[in-house]
Amino acid sequence: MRITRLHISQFKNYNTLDIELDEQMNCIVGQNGVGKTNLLEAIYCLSMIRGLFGLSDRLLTKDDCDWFRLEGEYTIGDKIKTACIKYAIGKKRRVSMNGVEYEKFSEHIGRLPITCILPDDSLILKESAESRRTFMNVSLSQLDSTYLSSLALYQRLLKQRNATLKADRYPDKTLLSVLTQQMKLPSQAIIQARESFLYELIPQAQVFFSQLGGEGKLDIQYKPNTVADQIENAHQESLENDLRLRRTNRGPHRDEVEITLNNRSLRKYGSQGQVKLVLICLKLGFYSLLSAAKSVKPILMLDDVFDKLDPSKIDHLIQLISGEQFGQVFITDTDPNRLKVALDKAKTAATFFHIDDGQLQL
Amino acid sequence: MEFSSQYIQQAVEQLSSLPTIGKKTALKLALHLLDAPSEDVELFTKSLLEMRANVKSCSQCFNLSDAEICQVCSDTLRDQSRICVVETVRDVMAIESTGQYRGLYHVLGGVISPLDGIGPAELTIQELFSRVQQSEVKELIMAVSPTIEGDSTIFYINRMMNDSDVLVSAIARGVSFGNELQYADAMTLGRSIATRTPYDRTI
Ligand SMILES: [Zn+2]
Repeated sequence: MRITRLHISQFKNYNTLDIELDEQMNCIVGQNGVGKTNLLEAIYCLSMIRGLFGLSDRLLTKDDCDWFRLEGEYTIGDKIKTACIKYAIGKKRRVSMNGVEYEKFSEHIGRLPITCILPDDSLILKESAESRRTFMNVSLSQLDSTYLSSLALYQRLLKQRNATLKADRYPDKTLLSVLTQQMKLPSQAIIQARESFLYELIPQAQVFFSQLGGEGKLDIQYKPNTVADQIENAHQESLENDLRLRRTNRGPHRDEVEITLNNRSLRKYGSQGQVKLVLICLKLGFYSLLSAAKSVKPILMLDDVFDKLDPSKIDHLIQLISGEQFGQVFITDTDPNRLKVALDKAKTAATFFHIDDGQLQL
Repeated sequence: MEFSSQYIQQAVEQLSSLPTIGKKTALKLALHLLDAPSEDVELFTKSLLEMRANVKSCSQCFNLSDAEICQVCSDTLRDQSRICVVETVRDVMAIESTGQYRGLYHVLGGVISPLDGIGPAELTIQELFSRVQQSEVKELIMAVSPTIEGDSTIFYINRMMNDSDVLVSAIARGVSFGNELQYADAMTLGRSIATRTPYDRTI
């Protein structure tokens, strides 16, 4: 799958931009803050109907403008498709494919598969468990169309249950029990989806880890807060705690994922270089799963990922993503020479786009 | 819009405060009332004031009523063993307009949503429970929104009825209910009440 043309109007720091894209390797270079990531974000937004950092549509709109529009032309197999997102302040955004508007945005997610590696993504491995759950949620939303609806249902019920716990001095126990019962099926769907996602991800990530010259044994353990068939018991056991702390203490919103290198926690003991490498391997592993699930090669985006990677790892990475297994790639870097050297070594042809202040320099 | 009369201005403002009435329509209505015989206008305003002063909630089912007990509840020809549980009085009107339901009603006043500050105590669930205990009701037909909160409400009432012999059933969930119930066409709504299914008591 490829995006062949991108048209941007009033998105982030771009006024208008209309570019033809390389079917294989696209290198977007320029100083910090000129809008390299924003260009990736536009492509990401066309696939995921959200920005890279969870900003509202209002904040995705260029300053002093009151609407934005993104349009991408794609070739998927032998078909040509046009995806379009329009947003105007005070109105709901509108998403269409070949001119037909979606009623439910969730129908679009996964149709233009994409994997994105960002510099801040290392936080997935270093920071709170929430960032690791978000990684699973965002990944699964593309892989499994029912996952998003289970997640939305669970989150709504969780809010209702927490509101019940906070509302009264003596919360209605029948209502708590009803909400707990309603949470059972979506909880189980979420836990099972996460379990099989990580189970399939591990071997993929391990292969990339050794291909990229990683040393040691990489492992990922899913640590669900409760196992799927014990969810009712778990809520029952923690009821007293829930009532005392006035929030729901058990359930997939408290799941944890432990990533280890040679059985030592990467989060606690990993060096910056190791964390970065493992992160890239997880994302490439996800790419493989997505590719297999959709029977197309998704778009791969690497934003500023070369910092803190030693040059030999960069060479390995460029070599790898130039290979058969991958399709269209977007890479941003502040240093065009670093990129050119690595691409030359891999004998990979690429198109360079020089960006300055939201404009393409020819 | 500027008017030569502050009285017209005032009337237009009041009329346009009504739902679906824009300034243009409001002016049209105001001019119509200005032309009408004054007895007609008096009747018009009197009927509004009387409605406001006299309509109350039925103390049994919370439907709109002129008396302490509404017409539906006091109609002895209606099937006293069935209560159709709805969110609002508009739902009662929608189901009544199908002409296919001959049981009683109970208006909850909404669905359970603690996030919006609506717990079971804010609805007429306790009243429903007492009503069931004190009467010969055999079946509660739940006709509430097909939403997460609508489900919570059905499950909750089902739990409350666990120790009684009352059957809790729900109307087919393909039709729109709750907020949209009043727009469902009479045929579909009538059929969905006829083909309701019992709720699993284990839930
Ligand atoms: Zn009544």
